[in-house]
Amino acid sequence: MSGEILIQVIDIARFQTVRPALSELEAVRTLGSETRAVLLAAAASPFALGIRYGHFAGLLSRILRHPELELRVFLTLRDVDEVIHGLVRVLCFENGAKYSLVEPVGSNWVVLESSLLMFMHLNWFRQIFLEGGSESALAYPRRGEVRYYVLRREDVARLAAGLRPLLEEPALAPEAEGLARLHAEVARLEAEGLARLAARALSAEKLTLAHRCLL
Amino acid sequence: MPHTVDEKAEKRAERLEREAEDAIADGFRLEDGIRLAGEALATRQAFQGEGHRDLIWPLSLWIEALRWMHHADSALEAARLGERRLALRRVALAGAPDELACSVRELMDLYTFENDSLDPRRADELRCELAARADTGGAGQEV
Repeated sequence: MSGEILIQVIDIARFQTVRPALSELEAVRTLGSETRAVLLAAAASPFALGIRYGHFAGLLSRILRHPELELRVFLTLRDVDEVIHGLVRVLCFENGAKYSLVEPVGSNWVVLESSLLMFMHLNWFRQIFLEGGSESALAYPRRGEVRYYVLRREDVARLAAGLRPLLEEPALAPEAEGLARLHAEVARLEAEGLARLAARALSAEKLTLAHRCLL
Repeated sequence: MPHTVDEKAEKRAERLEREAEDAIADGFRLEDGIRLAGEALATRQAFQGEGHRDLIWPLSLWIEALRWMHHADSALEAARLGERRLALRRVALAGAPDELACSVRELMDLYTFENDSLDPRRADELRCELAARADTGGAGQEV
């Protein structure tokens, strides 16, 4: 694996609750009242407008305006996939799955880049993030460019335990200078951010961590 | 287990549509997507008739695959299929003028390829229809 890994906190219990609605959307027929309630909840979220410049919110509005219509009659495949992905982001991820490529660490995300080379040398990291395989894939969104993978809670605990000794060291590369030092500092920030996310995920039974490749 | 011929055909069409969806969304199997959507369309035509609203979805899948190919020829074919889809939507969306306006707008988009109109006369006709719909309050914008 190369490039960047985005890691975010997900409410996996909420995902299981909305999963039947995602399946119903995928069938592109008329929606039942429970699925419409899920869409209404997403439409009321302040995060809905932030997805693709409000296009997601526009799609929700169109669907909710016509409960009598089958989705297959007036939407496209891309529309349906966008609604499914948007619902997962808005309803299941903390902070609407917000993240930034400029800031590697945020309240609900961490982008591992500078630290990735170091982490890839650690067996426990590779086992947690690479060896879950398709079994750890989130059921939705199942099409398109974005595919999330979720950690089991025991893996989150293992991650937290694995990070602890690394962060107890005074610095990841105390002797480095210039760019190498900057790189080491960012790597440490990422590792600290990841430890905070793991602690957050372990703070409630319903939470865990989801990850995906950015490049 | 499906019992009647129609139930079997419906199951087959649904399976073909699902396979087409996966092939198109994959982005690397567009030819497969076109073939599968075409088979789904033919299956539905055979057991549901030429004017059934269920033909809209396989047409939409076919159009989407053609659009992803980014060729002038496939864009023109997508527009041709888009005409057929709009004809079906005019019936299916008769009670939803805002959605029908969206469909007209979608067809206008299909006639545009790399900022050029594939058929300026037809694009004008659609633009006029959209303006007329706006005058009568039936050109709902996506919000």
